[in-house]
Amino acid sequence: MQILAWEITGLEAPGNLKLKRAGKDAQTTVAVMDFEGRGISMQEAQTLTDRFTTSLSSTQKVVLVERGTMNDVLEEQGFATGECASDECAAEVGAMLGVEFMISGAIGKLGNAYTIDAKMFSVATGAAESMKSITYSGAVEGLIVEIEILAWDILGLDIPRSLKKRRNQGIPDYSAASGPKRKTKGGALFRSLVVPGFGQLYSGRKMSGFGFMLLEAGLIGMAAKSNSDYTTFQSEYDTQLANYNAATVPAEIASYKALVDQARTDMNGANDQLVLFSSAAAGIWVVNALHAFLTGPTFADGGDQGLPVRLAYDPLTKQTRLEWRLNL
Amino acid sequence: MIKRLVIFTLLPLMALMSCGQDVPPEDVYDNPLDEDEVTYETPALTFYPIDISIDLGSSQAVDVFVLDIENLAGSHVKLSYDKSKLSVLSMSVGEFFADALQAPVFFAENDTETGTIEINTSFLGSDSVSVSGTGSLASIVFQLTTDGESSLTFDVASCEFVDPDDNSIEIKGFGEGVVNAQ
Repeated sequence: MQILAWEITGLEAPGNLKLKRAGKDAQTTVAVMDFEGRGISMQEAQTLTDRFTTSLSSTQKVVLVERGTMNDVLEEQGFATGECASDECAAEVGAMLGVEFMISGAIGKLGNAYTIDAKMFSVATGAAESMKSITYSGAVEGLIVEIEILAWDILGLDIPRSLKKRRNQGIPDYSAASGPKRKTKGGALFRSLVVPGFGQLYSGRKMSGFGFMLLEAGLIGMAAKSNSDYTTFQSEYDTQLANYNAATVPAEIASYKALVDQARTDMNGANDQLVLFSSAAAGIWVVNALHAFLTGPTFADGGDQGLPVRLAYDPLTKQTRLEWRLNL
Repeated sequence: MIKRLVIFTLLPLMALMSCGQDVPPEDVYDNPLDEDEVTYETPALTFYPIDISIDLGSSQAVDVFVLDIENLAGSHVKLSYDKSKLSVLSMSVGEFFADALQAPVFFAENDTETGTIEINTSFLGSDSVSVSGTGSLASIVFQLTTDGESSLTFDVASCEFVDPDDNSIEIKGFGEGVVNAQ
């Protein structure tokens, strides 16, 4: 209906409306110029442009010209990388490439804020079809999500829910994902809670780690032995009690009674040992967990960076917030 | 994460903490022939077993026991049972008198009309034959005819023990049997 309104008045409908109407079968050809970097390095600008191009391609609404093809044309025209920044130059390159639309833009840095300006214009008319700008404050990594969103936005398409979710979740911890995982006190605590001594081994304290393991295994073994003894004595107790109840001769009654008493005494002893060893095992377990936490990896070891509280910028609310985290 | 933490750590810890077993109490002795544990004084008359469990239609032998007696030469025991639930299949002399040097005189009478049994056991002659201690005077085989609980009781006034000189021996305690249908 919007396109019809343009056509009734004798005007050509904007490209983004056509793109919105177009399905997979009717795709528009687009070329993306490297975004100009102002205050950020050229490599960062090119990386962000690449991400923009990838995201643009994932919309499946446009056919993109390969960067290599475009670079060949630029070289033929005698432009070095980054020199063809004006709209006129871009339109000229677009015409040579035979695309309908060109997208160019700039990424700038002002203080702690980043700005991204992107423009899509018709190669045939030179008219701007869509212009979008984004201002973002936070770590430079956050620009990745923003520029992916910009790719959908500049085409006038609805932003996918997954991208919105990523924007809401903030900047992922790439350092943890890419390199070896950072050891934390919480990690040591968790491991020692699961297997005594494991947290100490995780922290590189082999002596105390194996010490706790052996001590815990010994105590649990002794508790198991006591439990086994208790079961044996209980069996003896049941047997002698049955004999006592079946006895009719006073001497036998007295004899079986003494055996029942002895079995009960043995059961008491085994039970006392069972309680002692199991309580000691539980106590050592708790002590080992505390020890693992207190002697866990520190900042100096390349581990946890002190308090688990940090300030973080939320791109959704555009506000800075206080975060508390616990690494497990 | 919390769930895993609970499963892997708290449950084993709780299991370790609750490892103590329940040791049986000391007052488990209820053999009716255990002179140290019975609630009545001796010499006494009791049944063994004292709690009798019988299936309907099946039979069970019950012994009449005398506890902690001295110089017993003759006895007269009268007991009653619930005739509506039990019937008497047989009666025989117990081992207490049978083990003596002289064979005893034993005769028992079952009155099915009143549900009473009278048992007489004695040594004949005046050669001072007697028995002492604890033992079975008679063995009675009951059959359960009807479901329900009933009791076996001694007729305290009619029971009598004598020594070889025909002197009466005081019976200080009497046990009571309980018959349960299973």
